[in-house]
Amino acid sequence: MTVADVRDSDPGDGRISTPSTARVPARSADVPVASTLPPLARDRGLPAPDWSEVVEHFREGLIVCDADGVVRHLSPVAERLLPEVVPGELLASAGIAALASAGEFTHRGHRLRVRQVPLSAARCCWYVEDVTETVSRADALLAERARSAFLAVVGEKLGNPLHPDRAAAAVVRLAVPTLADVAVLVLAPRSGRARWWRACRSDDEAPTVDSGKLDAVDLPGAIEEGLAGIEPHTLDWLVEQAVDAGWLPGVIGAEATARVVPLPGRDTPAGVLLVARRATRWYDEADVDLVRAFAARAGAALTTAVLYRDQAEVADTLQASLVPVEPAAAPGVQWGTAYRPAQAGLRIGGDFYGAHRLADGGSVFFLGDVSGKGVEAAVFTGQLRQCLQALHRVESQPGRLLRLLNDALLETTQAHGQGRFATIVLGVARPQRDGGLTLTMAGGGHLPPLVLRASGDIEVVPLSGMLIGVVPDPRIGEVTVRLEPGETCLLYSDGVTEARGGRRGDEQFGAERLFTAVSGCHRMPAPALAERIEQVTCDWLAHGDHDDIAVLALRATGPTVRTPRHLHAVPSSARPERPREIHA
Amino acid sequence: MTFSVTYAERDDGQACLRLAGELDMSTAPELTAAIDRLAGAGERHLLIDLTELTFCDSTGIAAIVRGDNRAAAEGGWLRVTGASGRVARVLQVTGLADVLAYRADTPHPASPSRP
Repeated sequence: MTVADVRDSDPGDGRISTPSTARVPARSADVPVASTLPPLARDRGLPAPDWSEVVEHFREGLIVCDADGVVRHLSPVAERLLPEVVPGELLASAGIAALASAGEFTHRGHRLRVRQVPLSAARCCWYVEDVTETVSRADALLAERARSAFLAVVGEKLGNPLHPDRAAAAVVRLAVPTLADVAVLVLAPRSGRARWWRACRSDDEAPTVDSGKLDAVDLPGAIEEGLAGIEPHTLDWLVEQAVDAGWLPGVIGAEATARVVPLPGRDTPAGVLLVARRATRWYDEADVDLVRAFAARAGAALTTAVLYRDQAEVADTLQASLVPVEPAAAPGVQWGTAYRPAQAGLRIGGDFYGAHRLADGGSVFFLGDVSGKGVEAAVFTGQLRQCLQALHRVESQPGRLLRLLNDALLETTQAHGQGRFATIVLGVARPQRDGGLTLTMAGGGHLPPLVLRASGDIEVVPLSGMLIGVVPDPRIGEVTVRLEPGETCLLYSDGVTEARGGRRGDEQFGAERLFTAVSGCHRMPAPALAERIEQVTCDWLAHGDHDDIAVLALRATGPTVRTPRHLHAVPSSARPERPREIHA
Repeated sequence: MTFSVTYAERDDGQACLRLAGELDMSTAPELTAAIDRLAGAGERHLLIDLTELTFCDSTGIAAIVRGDNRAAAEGGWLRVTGASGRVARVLQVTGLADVLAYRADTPHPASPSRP
């Protein structure tokens, strides 16, 4: 048996059959090379070279068997790859079952690819190639791609700012099953307590997630190390610590492998991620790198979520301080209010109202509108309300109080270099012995108030004046109005009369429709009246887009009602006054 | 009705902005920009003709007040003229009619005096 035996035969598919491992893309390692080279030329009658010498340098090893299956030739490469095969003996006796069928198999730690080619005279040749390196390269590439894809998904899922709790739950849920059978996230403790989230691999698609709290002093040592920014090295201990903490379910607890990785935060780690899985899948260096990359993303997401929550808390607090405060209960006055900011989601806007008690038993009340919209306007209303809260203690005469307010606003608006101003009606209500109210009102360029008389008449209070915060010495009008018991004075913002809607959608609500809406409502309690105006205005609005709407109604309750509690009362409570209204 | 600002120089040499349509939150920036352009070009006295203006809300008022503040800071003034109907009412309610009403030193046919 010589190599000449195979000289004339076509090795396999008639093309160059030994792919260069260096040039073939690794992922197609198991695909035959569809080369564009021409078929091998047949023997051109050239003198035969010394084939045995040539064959020795093939990457593929050769085994040639005769018709009986006895090994007749074994190239050095084949001998090295398959030392069990002995020339002169049956190939089958080598005990390599995989040789019976072509394909790939693992033998002595090598990945071998075999193909079998029939030769003349019922002989047979096996070509054996060591593809260990090619396959491992392909595997490494596939694994790298899987890791990239995983991290891309993680980045996407954690990309949106979430509530911190939901971000934490998302982190552990994403870690299973790619990184772990059990993933535990422990957040950096706040006020001595550490919260944790855990996801466990389940038979279903979605891992089960639960959470809990631990006293910071009870945290396992490895977690504490992690929270200090150190990746613990004592890996055996780690599993025991996790079992002790009750985090590893019994199923894998005994035979688990675990790693702990800190989640980077702003200064100190935002938390620590513990990943654990069955020891059959040990965390190798590539796995740990993946866990670290995951932890980096998770840490960023958690930090963002916490930052977002903190900012939201600050915003909520500030916002709450800018929402109008309900008028303080005062004897002889029933207050009614309605407030609907243009940006409903914001809950604050450029309209404002309020009332403060005066030492002499009266009340100072106001309703106004500042230029601008949204947060900026709301902040301005806050400054204005605070100014009034302080100033009404030194000056309770409405005209003079408004002038003081004008000076204060002028100072701040000039400091800000903005054309910011406010329109406002500011008044003082003083209860009279007969149950009526005397209202002295100063006008700061705002829509004049309405008075609903007991007779059913509606009067426009002839109040004029100039908006405040614009000129140093504004003209401020002052009017005194007397309310008989049961009569109501109504202050409103231009969001009511300028509401656009109606049949065409852009028609203004206007003063006339407002008069119509409140006519016949002179017996209504103040809260119901305010609510009615808001309701009618909102019904008129064609779409959600509108200006801020504010209404302040004050009604003379009459002498029969003395308890301050009564002033915020529900509509039915006003009933005792009715005979008096008719009388008036 | 759409809003428009047109610049015109009156016979007496007075720079004038003619407003038409509705001046509100969506259109006020146009007016502010026009005022800023003129002020930037060194115009210290500016007249705003409101004859064809049909609506003006608080944002519009803010733009006018801001323009007046800016002019006053440079020793000039901004005045309005020709307001009628709802616009006149807004100027009256806010008290701006008193402060910003244009009174030409010499009577002018192009400045109608409406209530």
